Formats: sequence, structure tokens, C-alpha cells
Amino acid sequence: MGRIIKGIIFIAILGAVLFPVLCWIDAFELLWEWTGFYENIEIDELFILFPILVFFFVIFLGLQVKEIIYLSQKLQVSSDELKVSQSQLVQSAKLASVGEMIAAVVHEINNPLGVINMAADVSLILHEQGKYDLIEEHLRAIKVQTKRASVIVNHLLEFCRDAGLEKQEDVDINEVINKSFIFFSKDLSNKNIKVIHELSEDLPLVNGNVIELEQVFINLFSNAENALRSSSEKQLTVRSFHRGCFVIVEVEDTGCGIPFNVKSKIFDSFFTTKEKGEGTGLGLSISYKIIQNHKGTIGVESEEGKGSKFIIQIPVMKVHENIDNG
Amino acid sequence: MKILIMDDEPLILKLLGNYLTMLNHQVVPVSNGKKGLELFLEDPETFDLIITDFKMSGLDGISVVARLKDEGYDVPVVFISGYGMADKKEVTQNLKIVAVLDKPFDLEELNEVLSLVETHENKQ
Ligand SMILES: Nc1ncnc2c1ncn2[C@@H]1O[C@H](COP(=O)(O)OP(=O)(O)O)[C@@H](O)[C@H]1O
Ligand SMILES: [Mg+2]
Repeated sequence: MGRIIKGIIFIAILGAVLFPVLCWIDAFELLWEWTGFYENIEIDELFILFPILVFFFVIFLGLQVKEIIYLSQKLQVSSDELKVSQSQLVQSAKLASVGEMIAAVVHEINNPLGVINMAADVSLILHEQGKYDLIEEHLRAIKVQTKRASVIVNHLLEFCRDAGLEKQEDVDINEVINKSFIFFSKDLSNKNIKVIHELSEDLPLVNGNVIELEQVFINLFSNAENALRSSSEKQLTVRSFHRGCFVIVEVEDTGCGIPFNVKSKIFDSFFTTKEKGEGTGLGLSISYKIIQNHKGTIGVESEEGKGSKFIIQIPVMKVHENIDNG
Repeated sequence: MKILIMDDEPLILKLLGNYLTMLNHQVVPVSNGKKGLELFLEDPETFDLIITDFKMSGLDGISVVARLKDEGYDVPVVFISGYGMADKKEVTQNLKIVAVLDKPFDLEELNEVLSLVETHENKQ
């Protein structure tokens, strides 16, 4: 873009300089007479007129060029801003899903902390009583529970981080599904939701971004959890399998289902049927975008009052990329 | 005292059980609300205190306590919570329980609650 504009400016300046010069040359004079337009104008007058005309023309051109440069810069800035706000949107949707999970996450951290603190207290008492042989067991419990808490904290950090969003790698979808459950499993069982894993054992790899894909599953699980709140039968099934050149994941719940007139809107940004503060309406639209970036598709089958099934298809890595997998 | 402990975190159950046994209490540890309710109802008058987790899979602590209150038992209850203060107010208002201990809590805090329950019992 910049080069073209510079080129135009260069030609304009060249014209401005060359034109009056050419006017002094006889050949040009002849050419002029030959056109026969200006029989009643004295050539001498033209010599004065032309540079002035050209001068104004150049100024006019210059102003236009300046305007074009200004507009193109503005365009550049707004497209940069759009990129930034898009990634901010992805980030804030991610944080919103963390917000939805935060009670579960806190519980998952407080539980091991509770054990650690209690084991330390008991150890102190045993130490006072001189029952040293009983202390070891408690110290071991402390170590195990510290690991347990740190897995959650570290994973939370990994998930919330802005960085790594561009990273593409070989992804085992089953692993991503299992990781998404780090935050969820206890909360789901506390809510008496029965989780059924039907994960295919020989699932081919896909190419993609682990954190983004995890975000999709977290959104789907959190929606399912919500849909199951007032169901009598609370069941969440996660299925993964491989058909043709696609890895397919199904997240199915026995929740409230999606009314027919709502179904077409659920993937729209900011569409939510939840109370203010409960839902952002971003979960599915972000998930849609993420799956699209992975060259896949996401769809839903649902019957009101019976439940919903979200189906994700992601292309398997090409064979030559997937040599390790046979 | 005879104390019913309900928590689905096995280590909390074990450590708490060991500790209270060390203090010469009689401990009945269970890992879910259904079992706890059953054991309590088998011999309701003998229990002096219930220590229970708020949320457990299956029947949770809140439901168990609500059931017991409904059936007219006013055994003192200590809640242990992994969810922080948020749930605290609601529950204390509705069920008039003795205390809510947020995980992680110190055994000293538990001791204070225990002695509170004991002095209260002795007065009756
Ligand atoms: N599993 C589900 N069962 C029923 N309705 C669902 C399910 N998942 C999504 N929906 C509907 O789609 C809407 C949009 O979902 P989403 O984009 O995740 O935003 P939010 O969860 O913040 O409302 C929800 O408000 C809900 O009406
Ligand atoms: Mg959602």
C-alpha cells in the first residue's frame, strides 16, 4: 500500500517538474500547435498558465494522497484493534468460564489444604506426645495433598494464560477431555450428575491448540451442568470416536433440552437464556469459532425436556503428518 | 461424646476420626449422607454431635441436617465447608447450626467448638 502511494507521489512530482520544462522545448510547441486547440491563445501565456495549472494539480493530488495515506493508516489501526479485541474476547470468554467454575475450583483446592492443615496439626500433637512413628504417615499425606492442590493451581494458570493461544501441536483429544474434568469432576459428583466416559482407546491425533480445545469442552460441560440442574435423571455422557478422516466428540446430557425456536440462536455471540450474571452468551459462539479454526464443525441435536447432544468433528492429521500413529 | 462424622474426602474422615478418638470421643465415620442418616436414625438419642461436610455426592450434609431438623432432632451440627464464606450465611440462618468451619481449619478452632458443645450439654 505504502509503495503505491509513494509511486504516485513520485510520478506527480516528476510531472510537475518535467511539464514546464517540456513546454520550453520546441518539439512540444509544435505538438501543441498541431493539436490546434489554442489558436487564439498566445503560447507565451500558456507558458505561464501551465506551470500554475500543474502546480494546483499537484497540490490537489498531494492532498488526495495525504487523505488516502491517512485513511489507510486508520484502516490499519482499526484492523489491529479488531484483532486485539477479538483475542481479548476469546480471553474474557475464557475467564468467564473460569468464573463459572470458580466455586468448584476453590473446593478442589480447599479440600487438599484442609487435609494438609489437619495432618500438620495432628503431627504436631503426635510430636508433643513423642509418638514419632505415627508422624511419617501424616507427612506422606501432606506431600500427596500438596501435589493434588498444585496440579489444580498449575492447570488453572495454564488455562487462564494469554500466551500459547497460537501454538499448534499434535493433540490427543481424550487427554484434553480428561484435563477439562480436573476442574469439574468433584463438582459434578457433588451435584449428583453421573458422568459416563466412552472414550475410544485408539483415537488418532488431531492438529490444534490444547488450551482452546479445552475451553470448548469446559463450555460444553458447564452448559450441560446447567441444563441438568432441574432434571430428575442427571447424566452427562462424553463420547469420542473416529470415523473416516474425523475425530468425533459427543457431549450429551439428559437436561432440559433446547426449544426449537432457540436452537438457531445458541451459537450467536451474547445469546443466552440465563439470568444476568449466570451466563455471558459467549461460550458456544467462542466454541464455534475455535472449532472452525480447527477446520472442524460443531452442531447440536436436542429435544426439549429430554436433553441435548453437542457433536464436534475435527479432521484427523494427514497421514504423512501422522506417521507415529501408523 | 459420640460424634457422627460425614465427609466424602477419605483423608479428612480418617484424620478427623483419629484426632477425635485421641481426645477420647467415640467416633462414627461415614463417607456419605445416606449412610450417616441411617446410622443416626438407628440410635438417635446416643449422638451428641454431627460433624459434616456441606456438599457430598448423593445426599449432602445440608439435606441430612434439614431432614433431622424436620424429624424434630436438634442435635448440634458442625459444618465443614470447602466453599468458603459464600454459603455460610444462608445455612446458618436457616438451620441454626453450631458452627461452620472453612477448610482449611485449625484443630484449635475445632477444639473451641467442641468445648462449646460440651459446656452446653453439661448445662442441660
Ligand atoms: N446443554 C444444553 N442444554 C440446554 N440448553 C443449552 C445447552 N447448552 C447451551 N444451551 C443454550 O444455549 C445458550 C447459549 O449458551 P452459551 O453460548 O454457552 O452461553 P451461556 O451459557 O452463557 O448462556 C444457553 O443460554 C442455553 O439456552
Ligand atoms: Mg455457557
